[in-house]
Amino acid sequence: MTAMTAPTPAPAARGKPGKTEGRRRIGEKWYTPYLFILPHLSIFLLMIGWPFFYGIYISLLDATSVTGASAPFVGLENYQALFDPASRHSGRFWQTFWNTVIFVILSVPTLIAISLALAALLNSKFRARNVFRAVYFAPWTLGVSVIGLLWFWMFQPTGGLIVDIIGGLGLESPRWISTQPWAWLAILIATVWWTIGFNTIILLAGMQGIALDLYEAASIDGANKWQQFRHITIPSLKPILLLVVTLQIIASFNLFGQPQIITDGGPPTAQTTPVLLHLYVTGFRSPFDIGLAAAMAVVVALVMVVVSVVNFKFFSTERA
Amino acid sequence: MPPSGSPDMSPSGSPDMSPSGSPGEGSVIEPPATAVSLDYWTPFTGADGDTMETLVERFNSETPNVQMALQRLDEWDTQLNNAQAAGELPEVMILRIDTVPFRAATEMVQPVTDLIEQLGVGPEDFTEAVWNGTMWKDVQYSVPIDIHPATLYWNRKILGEAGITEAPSDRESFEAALQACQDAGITGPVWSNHFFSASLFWASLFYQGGGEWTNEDFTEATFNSQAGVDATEYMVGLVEQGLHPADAAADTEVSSFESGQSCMAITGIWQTNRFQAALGEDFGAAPIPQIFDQPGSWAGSHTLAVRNGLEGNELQGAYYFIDWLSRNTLEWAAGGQIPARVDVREDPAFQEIPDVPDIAEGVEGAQYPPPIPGSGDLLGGPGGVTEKLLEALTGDVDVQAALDDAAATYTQILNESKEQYDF
Repeated sequence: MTAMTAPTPAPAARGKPGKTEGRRRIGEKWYTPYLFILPHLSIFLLMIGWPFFYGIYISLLDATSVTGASAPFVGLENYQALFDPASRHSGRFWQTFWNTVIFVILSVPTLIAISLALAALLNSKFRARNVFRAVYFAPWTLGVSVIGLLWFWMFQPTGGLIVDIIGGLGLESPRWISTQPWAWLAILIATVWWTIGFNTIILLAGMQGIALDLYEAASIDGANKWQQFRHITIPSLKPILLLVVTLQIIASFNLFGQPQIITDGGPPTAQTTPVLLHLYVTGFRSPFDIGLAAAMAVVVALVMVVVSVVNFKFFSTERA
Repeated sequence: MPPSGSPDMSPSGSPDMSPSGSPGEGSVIEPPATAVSLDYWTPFTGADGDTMETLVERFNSETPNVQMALQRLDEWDTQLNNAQAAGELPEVMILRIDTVPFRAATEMVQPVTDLIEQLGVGPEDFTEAVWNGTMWKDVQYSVPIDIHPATLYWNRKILGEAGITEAPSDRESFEAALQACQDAGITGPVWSNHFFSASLFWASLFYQGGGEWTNEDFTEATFNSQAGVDATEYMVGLVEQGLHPADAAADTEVSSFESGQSCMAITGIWQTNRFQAALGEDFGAAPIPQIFDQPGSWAGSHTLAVRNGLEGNELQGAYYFIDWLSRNTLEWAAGGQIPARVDVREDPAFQEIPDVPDIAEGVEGAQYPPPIPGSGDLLGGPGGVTEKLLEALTGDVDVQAALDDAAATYTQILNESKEQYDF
């Protein structure tokens, strides 16, 4: 990502051009830089690279978690099962895939808009703002099982806090968790509360890096607060926004724990089951069909690659 | 989601069950000639794990020649799969009854026919249903230690105030109790829309109506029969009559019953200790009421199996332990389990345990999915009965069409599975 690669040219620029040969330290060879990345690279290859290619290999086998890689080779049969509409596996896979897409569409703009607004608020000067910064960030430190159970109980139809509050206002509460679209909304609310602090803190850091004289100049020219936000804050934040949007799309696509705990993938038939939960159930609960689950993982990963590339392209042309 | 309603037993007020008088002695199995240490893996991570540890410690102290090393594992199926792939299976392991055929077909465990012969036991020493559930292709692969059926819990105080002093046992008394709760303004759910509650009730009703999961040669899923439709429509009918909420969220049958906001709860027997602790004197337990023609209830069972390839002294030691454990299940029963063996159920000490014997009265009606790999999915798997049931409870669904749809899916799965496992 741009934010990570940006600082690297700086040290190289320090040496005078043409004199680099003489400047090379004793013992420094062409492979020296690679030695420096070797510790990370070896862990990366072992923990991510190898499982990735092994996963592709498994997806070509008729493997269960009992047979493992000793299963017969079946070529693209698992993929065919996902793409052939007549196969009994394709319906549920695409249903859960589109469920995930729905969640991405619902959650990404919501999470970006709210975190942008929160960051702007927290960037202004007011009493105890550090307390608020900490408060908004705090839920992000919790695990998904904690927040899942917390909101599961809050949305309970009998004795749930949310339902009681709505009832106390004299209104009839919708049946969260067990009816649509309320089940999705419940998952979205839990996700916003849980993860909003992360985006907010990154955007806030970005806002703090914007030079104050820009705002000063704008206000002298008569720009109001909204115009300043629109024409100074947003354009200056663009690289950070790219990062946040990209990370958020990936995070939303990786939805798993919240529906697993809050709605159990219901109501009632997989309507809030994300594709990764379906993949997990297929591979690791019954029927232990890891060949098929691996094929699902490959398809989802390819989609993610495409989405990320489009995302970067879109933002970089915007910037140019 | 790992069912939060799954066995988590806190033994409270366990009665004194000294081994004297219990059928602890008199094994016909000889201990092995030389000392062996064996691994014994269980999925018991809660209070049931503590009970099992006590039992294993007692066994170890009584039999110096056989030492069992107990392991409690949480990601049970995955860990067994991994151990099998790595060739590191334990000598003895617990298998849930509906996984026995799958584990047998994939050669994780080996037959225990010779143990059964030596013991001279048969279906009449357990129950016929639990006995048949340990078979794969007519060969026995494990020995049941317990039976855990779906259970009707009832609040003696709330129902007592409405003049109901006996546990509801049939359609009339069950519906009268529901009505009485409504009238008293106690409207918490009796079942929740979750496998370990609504589905357990459904399966019980299905068995009561004489339902069969598949045809005899397992080529066709038949739960869309009249029994399946009746079971679904009975539950939907209670909702439509306003006697039960449509969409009680998972586990609310437990939380409502525990806090006195409902007068009955339907879930597994393993909640017994929890409810005893919460409700004390007001607590009552009973078999699932008989709504249709015959007694019937969903049930699970923990069974003991030995890994494939075990032989010699190690096998002898494993057999010795299995026999001992299957006869020493009184402490185990107190945690909310019915002993699988008739002689333990008939032991006077068993009758001393609070509440569990009341539930055990329905033990003959306890039934299991057919003995083929993956049969537990018929009720709980993707596209299976549970999904259709929950759709019917919460929406306007043609019950017959929904069950036909699920049955068509599972007919396809059965045939794929027949080809894969050759049965």
